[in-house]
This record gives sequence, C-alpha cells and structure tokens, in this order.
Amino acid sequence: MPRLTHHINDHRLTRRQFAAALASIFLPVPATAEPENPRIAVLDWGWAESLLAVELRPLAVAEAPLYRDRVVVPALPEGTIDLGLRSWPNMELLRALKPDLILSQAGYGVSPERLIEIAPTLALPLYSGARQPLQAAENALKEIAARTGRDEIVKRYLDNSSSRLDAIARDARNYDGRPLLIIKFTDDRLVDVYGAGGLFDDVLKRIGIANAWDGPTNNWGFATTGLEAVARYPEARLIIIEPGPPGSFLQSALWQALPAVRHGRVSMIPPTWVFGAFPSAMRFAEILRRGLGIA
Amino acid sequence: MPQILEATGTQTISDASLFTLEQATVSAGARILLQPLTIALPARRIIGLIGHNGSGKSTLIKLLARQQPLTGGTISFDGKGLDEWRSRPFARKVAYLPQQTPNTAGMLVSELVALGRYPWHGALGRFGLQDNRMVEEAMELTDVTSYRDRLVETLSGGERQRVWLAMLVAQNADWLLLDEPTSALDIAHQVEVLSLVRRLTEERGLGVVVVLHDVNMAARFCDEILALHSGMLIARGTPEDIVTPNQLQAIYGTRMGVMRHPDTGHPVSYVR
Amino acid sequence: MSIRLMTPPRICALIALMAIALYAVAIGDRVPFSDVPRTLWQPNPASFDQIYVHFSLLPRILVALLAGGALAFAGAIFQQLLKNPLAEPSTLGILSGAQLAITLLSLSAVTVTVGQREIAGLAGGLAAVTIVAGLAKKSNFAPMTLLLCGMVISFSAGSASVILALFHHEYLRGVFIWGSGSLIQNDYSNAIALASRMIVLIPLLLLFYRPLTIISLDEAHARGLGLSPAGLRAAVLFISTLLSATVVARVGVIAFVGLAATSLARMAGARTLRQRLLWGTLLGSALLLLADGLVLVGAPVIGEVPTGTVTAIAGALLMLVLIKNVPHSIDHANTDVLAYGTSPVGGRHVLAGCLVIAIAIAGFSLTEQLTVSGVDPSVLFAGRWPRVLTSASAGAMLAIAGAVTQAVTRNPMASPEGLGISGGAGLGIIAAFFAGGMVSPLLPLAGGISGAVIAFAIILIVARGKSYAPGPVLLSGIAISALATAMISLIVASGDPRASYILAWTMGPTFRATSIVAIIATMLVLIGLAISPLFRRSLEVLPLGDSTALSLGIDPARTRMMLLLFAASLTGVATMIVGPLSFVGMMAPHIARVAGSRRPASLPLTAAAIGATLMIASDWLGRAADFPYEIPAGVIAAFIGGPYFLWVIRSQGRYASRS
Repeated sequence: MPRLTHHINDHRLTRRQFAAALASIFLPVPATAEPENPRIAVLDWGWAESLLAVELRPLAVAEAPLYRDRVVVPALPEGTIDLGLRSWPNMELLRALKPDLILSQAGYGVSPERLIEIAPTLALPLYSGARQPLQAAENALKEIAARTGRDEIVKRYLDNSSSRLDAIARDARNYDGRPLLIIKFTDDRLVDVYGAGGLFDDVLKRIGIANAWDGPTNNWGFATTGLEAVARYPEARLIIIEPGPPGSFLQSALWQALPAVRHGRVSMIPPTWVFGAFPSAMRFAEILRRGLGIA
Repeated sequence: MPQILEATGTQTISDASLFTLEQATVSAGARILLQPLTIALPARRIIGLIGHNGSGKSTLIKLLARQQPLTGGTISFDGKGLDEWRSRPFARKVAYLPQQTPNTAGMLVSELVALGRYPWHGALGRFGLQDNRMVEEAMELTDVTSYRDRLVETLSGGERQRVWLAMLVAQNADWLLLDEPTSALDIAHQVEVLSLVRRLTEERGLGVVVVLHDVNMAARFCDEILALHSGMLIARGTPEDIVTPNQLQAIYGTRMGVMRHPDTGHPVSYVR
Repeated sequence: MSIRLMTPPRICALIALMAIALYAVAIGDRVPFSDVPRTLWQPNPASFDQIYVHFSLLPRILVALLAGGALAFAGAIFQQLLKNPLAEPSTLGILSGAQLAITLLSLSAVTVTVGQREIAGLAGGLAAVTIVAGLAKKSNFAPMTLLLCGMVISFSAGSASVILALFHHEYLRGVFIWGSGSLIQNDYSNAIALASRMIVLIPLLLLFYRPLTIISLDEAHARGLGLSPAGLRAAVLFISTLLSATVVARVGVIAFVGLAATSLARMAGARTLRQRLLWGTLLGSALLLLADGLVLVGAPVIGEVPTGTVTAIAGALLMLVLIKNVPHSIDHANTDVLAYGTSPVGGRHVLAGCLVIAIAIAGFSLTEQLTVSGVDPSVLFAGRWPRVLTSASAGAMLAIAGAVTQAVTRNPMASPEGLGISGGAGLGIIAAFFAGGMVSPLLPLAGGISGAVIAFAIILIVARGKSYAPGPVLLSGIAISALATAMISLIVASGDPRASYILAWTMGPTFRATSIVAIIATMLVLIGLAISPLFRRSLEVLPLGDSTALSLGIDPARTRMMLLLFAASLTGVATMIVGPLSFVGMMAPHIARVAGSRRPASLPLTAAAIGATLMIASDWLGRAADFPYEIPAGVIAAFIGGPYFLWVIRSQGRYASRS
C-alpha cells in the first residue's frame, strides 16, 4: 500500500521535525534573531502558496505531506510542521507552537473565534459568496502583507504578476478565439468542468479567453457531469487537466465522437491546484499559454 | 386469614365486584373468535372455562384481562366499563397469568414475586413494609419461601408456576385470571397448583376464572363451568350439570361416558 | 386501485412503461424519431448524439436491466434461504463489505483494473456474508438477529470507508463516485460482463430450486427429507453473493432494489418461490430502469445524481412502509432475555471499580505528554479538559440510552445507534451544511438536533401501529441509517472540498468540544442519571413481556414510548458529540451485566461509568494514534465495538443452543 505507508512515514518525519521545532521554541533564542520572518501557522494551502510566493516561510501547514503531493509548486521547505487535517487541525499542536499568526480560509474549517484564543488569526475569504476567487486571492495577499509588514514585496509580486498576465493576454490575441472547456476526469465516466466562481474562470476572463461552460457550478466553481454535456459545446476546445482518462477510453467510440476530439481540438495540461490562490492562478495562466501554443 | 384483609385495609370485596359482558364479540377479519356473549361472572368462586382447541376460551379470558380488545359489545367490571379503568387501579383488582409465562433470566424468586406489588406502589412509590409483608405472605402461602433466593429459571415447571402464582397473590387482587395454568405440568403438579388456587379462593375470597384443558380437573376444582364451542357459549352450570355424556358430546364432539369418583363423588368422564 | 387489480405482470408492465417513456424522452432529446432505428443498429460516427445513444444510453439501459434483475434474483434467493422477507444484498452487509474492500484496494494500488475490482468486491462481499451467516447460525437464523448482524457489518464497513475518506478524500473521490452507484456507461463492457456472469450464475442457482422450496419448512423436516441444510446454505449463499458482488464491482452500491422488487412481487400476489423469482427479477429490472430513467431525465435540472443514491432513498422510505407488513415472527422473534451475569460481585463494587478506572484514564489523558512535550501542564489541561469531559458525558449518555433501549427492545444486542436517531442526526448535519454552508457552527448543531427529532418522529409514527414493538423500531432505524450512509457517499463523490469537514462533523470529533459544550453535556448526563430511577420499575417489568406488564398495571405501549423518548434524547445529544456510530451504547450495558451488575436499578449507573471510561480511552487513542491527525473518538470506539458486538452475538448464540 504505497500511499498509506507514505502517509505514515510522513507522520514520523513530522514528529521529529516537530520536536526540533519545539526545541527551537524553548531554546533561549534572542528575540531579535529573525524579526522579519514571523511564525505563521497556515490552515489553507491557498495561503501557504501565497506566503511562499512572497518569500515568507510558513512555520506549519495543515496536511503538509499532501500539499507536496497535490500543490507541488511552490515547494514547501523542509522542516515545515504538519498541523493535521485542514478541516480539523490539531489544536493542541497549534497551541504548543504559539504562532504569531494563524491564516485560515473564512467559512472553512475551524471557526476564527476558536483560533483567536490561540493566536492572532486572519480568516480570509477565497471561495465565498462573492464568487471571485482571483480578486479574493489578491486582496488576501495585500492583507497578509499589511499584517506582516511585507507591503513592498507583495506589491512587487502583484505588479510583476499583473504585467505578466497582461503579456499573456496580449499573446492570447493570437489565439483563434475558440471558447475553452476546462475539464478534469474524476473517473472514466464523469468529468469536472470548471466555470463561473472558479479560479480558472477568473484567469480566463483576465487574459481575455472565453470559457465555453455556461452551465451552473457549485460554490467552488465547478460542475460534475457526463461527457454528453461536454458534447453540448461542439465549437469548444477541450483542455484536459492531467491525468486524463485511461488509454483504452481514448480509443472508445464515444470519446472519438466528441466534436472537439474529431476535429483535434484537445490539449492536455499538467495539473494545477484547483482550489488555490494567486500563485495557482499564475501557474494556470502560464501552463495554459504553453498548452494553447500562443507563447 | 381475616387479619390479612384487615391489614391491607384497601381490599374490599363487594358483590358489585363482578364481570358483566353485554354482547361481547371478537372477530379477526371475517373470522369470529367469540360470538356475541352476554353473561355475568360472580365473585368469590372458581369458574372454569372448557372447550375444544379454538373454542374461544383463551380469547374470553384475555378479554377479561384486557389483554385483547373487544370488537363489539361491552364488558364492565365493578360497574365500570373495562376501558374506563386506568391501568394500575385495574391491576389492583384483577391479576392475570398468561398461558406462557415469559423467560425471566437473571431474576430471583423474591424479586419476581415483588413485582406483584407494582400496581400498589407504582413507578415511583416506595416499596414499603406493607409491600414487603405482602410478598412474604404470598411466598408463604404458595410455599415458595424455601427457594426465595434462587434464580427463577433454575426451578422446575411446577415450582416456577407456583412462583408466578405467588406474584399474582402478592398483587393482592380480587380476581385471578389463569390461562391454562397447568398445561405444562404433570398430574401431581396440576393438582398441587389447582389446590393452591382452591385454597386461595376459600381463604381470601378471591374470584378465579381459569382455562382448563382437562374436564375432570375442572369438575374437581371449579364451582362453575362455562363450556364454549366455536366461539359460542353452549353450556353453563355446576360440574354436575356439565359433566354429562350429552353435554360432553356437544362440547368435544366425541362420545364420552361419566362415572362417580369413588372418594369424592365428583363426576369423572372418560372417552368411550 | 384495488390490490387485486395489481397482478405481477401488470405492475411490471406499468413500471417498465414509465421507464421506457423516460428513456424515450432522453433519446428523443438527442436523436429525431426517424433516426432512432438506425441509431440503435448502426450509428453515424459523425453524429455525437447517435454515438452517445448507441454507446452510452443503450448499454446503460442494458446494465440497469441486468443489475436490477441480478440484485432482485439474489434477494429472492436470500429471502427464501434465510426465511427472512427483508434479506437482500444490502441488508446482509454484502454491498458495504464489497465497497470497503474495493476502497482499500484503490488506496493500495495506483491503478485498479475492473478485474481487480471484481475480485476485491467478491472477497469483501463473501467476508461480510460469511460473518453475518456465521453469527446468525448460532441463533438458527432468527430474522432479527440476522438483520442486526447485517446492520452491524454494514455500519462497521461503512464507518471504515468514511474514516478512510476523511483522510484520503482527495484520492478516493473516484471510488466514492463508483460506490454511490452511477449507471453511466461509455461502452458495452459492463453490460457484457454482467450478462455473461448472470448466464452462468442464475442457472446454477436454479439447480437448487427444489431444495430451496423444502428448506422453507423447518430444518428437521428438511433433514428428514434427505437434505443437508448446512451444505445447501453454504452453496447457495456463496453463489448468490457472487452474483451480488459482481453487480457491486461493475456499477457500485445499488441498495434496496432486491428488497423493493421482491416485496412488490409478494404484495402483488407472487406466492410461490417460482413466481417470486420470476416476477421479482423482472420487477427488479423494471424498477432500476425506472430509477435510472428518472436520474437521466432529471440530470439537466438537478445535476448528476448517482442512481444508487435514488434507490437508497426510495428503498429506505419503502422499508419504513414495509415494516407494517413484516410478519409477526419478526416483531416478537427476539425474546432473548438480557443475559445478566451471575457473578457474585455486587453492582456497587462494579460501579466503584469502573469509576476508579475512569478517573485513572481521565487523569492520564489530561496530563500525558507523549505527543507534545515541554508544554506547560496547565496549558495542556486547559486544552484537554473540555474534550475529556465531553467524551465522558457522551459515553455515559449512550450507555444509559443503551441500557434503556436493550430493555425496551428486549434485545441484548440492541444499540441506541440502531434506533436511527444517530442516522437522522447525521442527515440533519449534512442538510444544514448544504442549506447554509459553514456560516456558523450552530447551524449543523441545529440541523443535527432537528434531524434526530424528525427521525424519532418517523420511528414513532411507523412503530405506533405495532405498539412500539422492538422489531419495527429497530427496522426503522436500519432504514434511516442506510439513508444517512447513502448521503455521505454522495458528499464525498461530489468533490466538494468541504467533504472532510462535513465527514468530521458527522463523525462527531471530540476535539471540537469547547468548555461550554463540556459543561452542558455534563449537566445533561446528570439530568439523565437523575431521571433514570423513574424508569427503574418499568425496566424491570418490560422484559417480562407485554402480558405481564399489562397485568401489573403498566401500559406497555405508552411506557415503551416514554422510554424510547428518553433514550432518543440522550442518543441525539451524544451523537452530536461523538458521532453516529460508536457502539458504546451496546457495549457499556453489556459489559456492566457481564461484570455482575444484575439489577435494572443499578445497571444504567454502572453502564454510564463504563461508557464514560470507553469514550475517554477512545478519545485519547484518537488523539495519540495518528498525531497530529485526530481520529474522531466515536470511530475509535466503533473499531473496538464492532468486534465486541460480533463476540457478543457468538456467545449469545452459544447460550441459545445450550438451553
């Protein structure tokens, strides 16, 4: 059982790292040793990648091993403490770590009222009723900046990102303008289609490419559906987030009959964290640029 | 034992304490278990119910015990409709022993007998000295005191039946309704149990309705016999009246003869 | 419509017609009427709609017909073999067993082929049915015992699946999509596989037709006619399980179709085994087709709902209706009296001993520094006392509820969790999340409480006609719990990132407890303990049966209702704290009796102390076992409780065969 053992090993590792971290807490370290690197505990991967993007090292991240598996980039530094489940982090560990700041996603997991008892807490919205995750992610970065005194770095990061997105949007004018259907296979029968309220949809809007999917989506901006719904958009180009369906499925009559497949309008792109924040959005934009060949 | 009657103070057996049935009927779907029956059952005597299997004798006794609802007619007890009685007051007047006594795993004899006091103290009332004395007397009377601390399930069939009777005695009701109390017992135990019932009637003035399979036992111990056939009361009278070749033929549908008991003179029947 | 107008062929035709109408709508939506024949035989490869109808909808129809038929056929066989009108693959635990095995397989291998899935499903299904049958054999396949065993196996397998999902929901989504029973097809492979297996297995089972008719007499007769009941049972169980597990592996968990089809057939007058097999199977096909047609036509409006979810919901409702048709034997089948211990140790000593152990474990749990070190003990204590106190309270509440439930149902294996209250609370929590999201933790709390109340009301309504007899009460519980399980599958399958949060909520993690929760819970336990003496005498008398109770002046129906209300309130609150499935309510009173607490008066108290001990220990284990990940205490208790339950049934059976 590779995955299970992997999981358990990670815990052992974590416990050792944790002991090291604890030792560092109780060793007489001068208070002024690292003034500009606050000790931040992160309960949401979106904020974890956001911190890393602006050169802040999180002290602890919930489900750190799974982050390395699912979000991958930006990589978590060695020694990051695992806090347990994102939805139910280990409160005792959190208490023991005495972080300077806790970052959580508003409306998800432990309520901020309980976190505040342990340390100052920022519960920032990302996937919320506003349904604009990209904007929310940008706002969150600014708030984190304000709280940690990193306004300069964050401003630089956002400016760079903005001009990068502008550049991609310019490149996108070379694209043939076909609307995109961004899908991910959940098994060999159903797909998730990303639409309004999702991060990918916001990125498409920002770089001026149409999203074909106009159907309803859930709180996180996707809908799960069969292939027949995909066929309802014959003009669209299919963007498949890897891993795609099994090879045998790609040979099936049903797949071959999809208008986009028949006309060769299918691209595979490497995976991006689907429920991420600003760095995930940037990564998706870059990947899409390469995937569409508009570079 | 008149002093018991005095001691309880609550027990007053009046002539009104009787069952009156008025066109009482029980049917299940199209099947009629008990034809409309109008009858009065007087107190302080043993009334035997006899009849073939499915004649309605069990149905009738369950009706009296409120274990089964009427589908037609009325029954009143002590001048009040049966369904007007509240559970506990009724249980203080009428005690019922079902045909099959339930499993009592884990219960001691004394504990089971003490349950008979429930109608008197209820869910919350204290189990007082009075209750204690009634339980002791009931065990004494039924001769089960010697195994009071044994588990009920370890007793023999006859002993167990006596323990259940003790519970009914402790209940201190005016009426005992017994549904085939002797069915699982050998001859000696049958006599033992029925003698006990007889003694209770005589000493405490209880009214008893008892379902019996054996017509000779009924003749030996009952004051009065009701004979049922296909849900209908076909004969009522003293053992002398009922235990005759003609009546028995009508009741059981088989030819029977009758002779005298050489010692007691009771009528004794036999199959021809 | 009078019941006589409803002959099996007519009902079958009616349902099939409705299903065909739905599919006609779905196909007509894609292909114009004139093109339909061509589409069926030789679709135009350039037309996606024609290809879709040919390669997706047609196999889907075939799979629905085959799977429904197979499950109903297996159900009819199980019912005949086990003489239990409620037996079917899901109530026997086969479907959950297979699902758990396949979930484990998916976690251990990177890619899983259909063949591997089939083997895993088979192994899981066989394991489940072997345990259930092995346990029920001891009580000579008494219907209630059989259903209880099936329920516990289902619950245990289900909770194991949920705990796996809690930690691996990102990986397991595909498994749960499959597990929730979607009939979507992309080619003919499943249809061909199902058909080929059914062609072998169904005739094989039909070879047993005559022995199966004989076994409906009792075993002595069967033996007298030269039949080996044990051999027959083993062979038939094995083959029918193969048939059911094949369906699970191919299309996922489709619960209750077998039950619905065979019950409908019986109600319509299919009397003999031959009639029930024939019409049950056809009705199974028709019913699943109808359910799938509804899902298909409804998909554009309400989104992709797995067909298995629809059958679980419809089936659970049906089961609630069917309860009133359950034959008498089931209502009163289980009159096993509670096995009181005969140990000389008095109840008071047991109670004192339990309290000492409870305090010792609580003290350890509050102060140990195995997972975190160098932390100020007062900080540890401040963080831990609410959860320890809350766990103890929940354990005590479940134990009291269990003692009461077991007396009321006259069944030593009954568990308050089985009343359906817990399932109802779980459903309420899920509903609250879907209705209001994660706005406030009060919302799921309110949802859980209303769910528990509604579930209880349903049980009362269903069981009222039967004067709250034990059997129907337990059966309504099974139905409601099955519904809750189906909803949980649906959530994981939805891919909602909140899945693990919702799962954790429904599992009732004690680490969520705050000091206010702890104090409220403790007060409720004290109130419960204060009230319980009021029920002491009822608890003594009720196990002696309704006749005795009635003759002592106790109204059994009303008393049972009051007691159930009491047990349900405690269970509802405890479920909010430790989740729907801990088996503590079953274990604690049982341990108390075995330890020698014999009297109904002292039993709730002793059981409460034991329940509290179990829960405190589970809470600590859940905290330490997988640090920093917390396993809900209820789940840990269930892992202890499942095996304990099985052991109890085994020893109960031995009692029965000895006496």
